[in-house]
Amino acid sequence: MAYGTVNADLMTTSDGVSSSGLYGFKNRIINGAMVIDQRNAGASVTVNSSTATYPVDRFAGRGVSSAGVFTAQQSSTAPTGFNNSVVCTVTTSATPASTDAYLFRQNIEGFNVADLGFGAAGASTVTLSFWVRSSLTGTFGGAIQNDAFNRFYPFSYTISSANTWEQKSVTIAGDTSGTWLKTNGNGMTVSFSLGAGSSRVNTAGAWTSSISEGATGQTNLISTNGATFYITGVQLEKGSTATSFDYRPYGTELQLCQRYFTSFVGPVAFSQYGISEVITTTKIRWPMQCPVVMRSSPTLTVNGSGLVWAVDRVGTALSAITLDYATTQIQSISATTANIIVIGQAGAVTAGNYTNTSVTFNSEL
Amino acid sequence: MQYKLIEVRATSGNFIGTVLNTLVRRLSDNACIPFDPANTDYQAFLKYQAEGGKVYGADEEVPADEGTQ
Repeated sequence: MAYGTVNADLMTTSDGVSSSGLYGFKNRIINGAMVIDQRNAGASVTVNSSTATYPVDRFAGRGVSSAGVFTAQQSSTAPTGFNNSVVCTVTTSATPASTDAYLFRQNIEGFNVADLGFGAAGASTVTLSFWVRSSLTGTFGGAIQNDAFNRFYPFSYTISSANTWEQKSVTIAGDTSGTWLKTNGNGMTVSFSLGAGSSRVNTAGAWTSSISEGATGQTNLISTNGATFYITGVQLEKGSTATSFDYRPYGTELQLCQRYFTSFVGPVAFSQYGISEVITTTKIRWPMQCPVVMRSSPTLTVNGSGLVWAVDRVGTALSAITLDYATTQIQSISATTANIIVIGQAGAVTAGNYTNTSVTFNSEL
Repeated sequence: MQYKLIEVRATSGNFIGTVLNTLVRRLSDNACIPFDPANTDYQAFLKYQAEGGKVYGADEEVPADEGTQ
């Protein structure tokens, strides 16, 4: 009986069926189909500073100044085979100054690209593929970077027809130089440039230590007011061929995202967030457990109208909400209440009569 | 972007009042940031502090126009 063959990247069965492009989890990008949006539920965000701003999970828009401003938003405009994209729209145009860069990017955790072996001999070739659609045509740019911001691979691609979905791919020889994190830090940044100044671009198609957040000669979307840039189906995979998109189950993709950001949203008034214990006459403490182990101990933020402590069906607003202890999975939270309360007493932490409260844990890269 | 240190103190047992943990509050949005070197908000705090940015002590009053605690 004949058996199939297996090498490092390919399995072939005895009847000739090859695993090339068929196996799962080949995509190192998370949420490449732009489906998961825990932060905004589809609402638009404005990118007007160097602070990373997330229109969907794992993908951030970033600028370096408020001179040029764009919005970014999950969209239902998508090519066949996809249901979502992200659309970036220029709302304040600007000509990028020499050190300015406007981009849409994802930082990939080092654990998820460690096997590519970047930074040493034998680094794997990778292929980046994606679908784009823009109101502008021409040569566009992007870059792959390391966390130390001293290794860059600027790439370019051409958008031939305005307002038409086109699939692009770029094959990149692995970088044998530099330091590429293989930990829970930023292992690799994949960015798509929406505008870059002369000191932020370099010739496409070669590794360099010169800062490169775009490619020489690229179209700067940020320079055209009202210009749009849609993107989806982003995939970074090992090998020199762009294969079919790794469309993972929604629940799986959501859990992958929750390693970096988790939002507890009370959909109705009086939603409960936890059961608390009174620890002083003015202070309570309660635990919250994240659905997956997070990348790092997360930052706690309470948004909206805040939380209410309820005991015997009487609610009191909570203040000074504090993350007493943080691990990558269990968070211990305390808060102050104006009521004089009994040590050891139990109560519920709720949204009160509000529907806009969320408790978020952030460990993004 | 300003920050205030937070001290978590023991509330029971023989060590009442002892500082058990320290973290930082970002005053712009009241976010609580743990001292985890891998947390990018903590990294941003360290950069802000290294550049001479104001960090309020745990017992220091924050002026009303600088945010809420």
